Amino acid sequence: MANIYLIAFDSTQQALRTEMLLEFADIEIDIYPTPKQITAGCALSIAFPCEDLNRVTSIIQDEQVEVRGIFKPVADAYEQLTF
Amino acid sequence: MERSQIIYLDHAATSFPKPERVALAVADAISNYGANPGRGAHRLAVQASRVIMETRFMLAKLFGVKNPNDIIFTSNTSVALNMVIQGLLVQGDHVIYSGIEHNSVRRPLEALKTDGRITISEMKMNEHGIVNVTDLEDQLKNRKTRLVIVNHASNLLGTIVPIEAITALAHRYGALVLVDAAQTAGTYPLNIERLQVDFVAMPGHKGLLGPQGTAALYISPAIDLKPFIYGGTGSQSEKIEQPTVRPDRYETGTLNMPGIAGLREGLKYVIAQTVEYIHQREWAHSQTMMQGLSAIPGIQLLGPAIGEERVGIVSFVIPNQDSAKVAFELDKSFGIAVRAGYHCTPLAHATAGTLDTGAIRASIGWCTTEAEIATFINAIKSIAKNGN
Repeated sequence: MANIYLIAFDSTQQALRTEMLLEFADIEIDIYPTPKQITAGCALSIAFPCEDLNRVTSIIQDEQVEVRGIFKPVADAYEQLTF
Repeated sequence: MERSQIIYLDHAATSFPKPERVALAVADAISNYGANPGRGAHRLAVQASRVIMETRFMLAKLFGVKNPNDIIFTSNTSVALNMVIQGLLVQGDHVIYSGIEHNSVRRPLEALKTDGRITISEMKMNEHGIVNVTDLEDQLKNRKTRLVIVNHASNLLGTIVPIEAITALAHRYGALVLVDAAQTAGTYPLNIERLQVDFVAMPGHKGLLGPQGTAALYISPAIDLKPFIYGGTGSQSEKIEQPTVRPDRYETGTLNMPGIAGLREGLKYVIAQTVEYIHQREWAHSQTMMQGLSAIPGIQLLGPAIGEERVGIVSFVIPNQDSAKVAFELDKSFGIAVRAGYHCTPLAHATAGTLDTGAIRASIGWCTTEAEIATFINAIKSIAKNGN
């Protein structure tokens, strides 16, 4: 989990749309259950490599995806990134 | 009578049959991955959710909507229309609707009016369902209007309403626009965001060839519509309030996932054929039907004249004959399914001047053939000649 960030969502449909958009952009992603430290909301999160952060945030903004946030795993916790 | 012998000309009520793969997809969903979409993260629930997302995506593409999550699944068009009417209108609002609205628009408006909450007025149309735009502008000028509701195509007359002009006019005077696309979704081109319509309600089970129990509502991202139904969405479960995120905000309760899986296959068929081709084909069939019927003495065709634009709906009256009896005779003696009576739209019958007689409506669909239309015309000739 060291080299990835996690996008958490408030909606499964938003998560799956994002999955499709990121796959379309050839970003290597994985679906994860959302850690309870982040939210008890939508159970799906998307992990992506840290180096793709700029591309991911621009897709989220351009496509108006609503996300709970992008999180960086830090020890046993998650730190929310601002973008 | 065998199913294969029946001539089905009631596609305006629901398309039938559906392409075979629609039924297969419904069965596949029920048998192989029918978990609850959006509830849980196990693979079957995710697969079910993915089918819904893909269908939403296809609808967005077909109707010119940038963000698929601005399209909400509902159980039918009436529910979609009610979501807007009940969610948007508040005490003192004024609504203008057209003279060809279905009861699914008229009744919820009448209920709000009876409760003293809103006022309503009708935009003038001629007997063919052609809008008097000057009258509409006068009404918008003279009275602050919250919402204009317009049927994209009349389910009685087949007339196509110029929603681009109506939307531009309504917006100029600060009113929002709700389009009922029950008779056009999948059979007449509609680019929602190019036309800048605020809300569009559409069935999945008519021109989009999906199963009954599927429908959709487009809600402009600029509008924070109040939800009509509150409850479980599978998301933000820790919050007491309804989520604000779309589509969850408007999709309370378990969706008809197997139906939506079927709708996805219907959409694939429509997208492959193209809506433009489907319209062209249905229009050509409607012209053949109208030419054949107009040659029968006394028959009164409703809606736009031969050669003019319309959807694949042809309604008519045979003088001195009860429409319901004609439809019964068509079914009993000829195996032809049409709809008679008032078609849930006494408003459009008032517009057409057929409130006293009702009408016979033959509606064309994706699988209608020239041979079926010829048989239908001959059957009407026989009934018109012999009476019933």
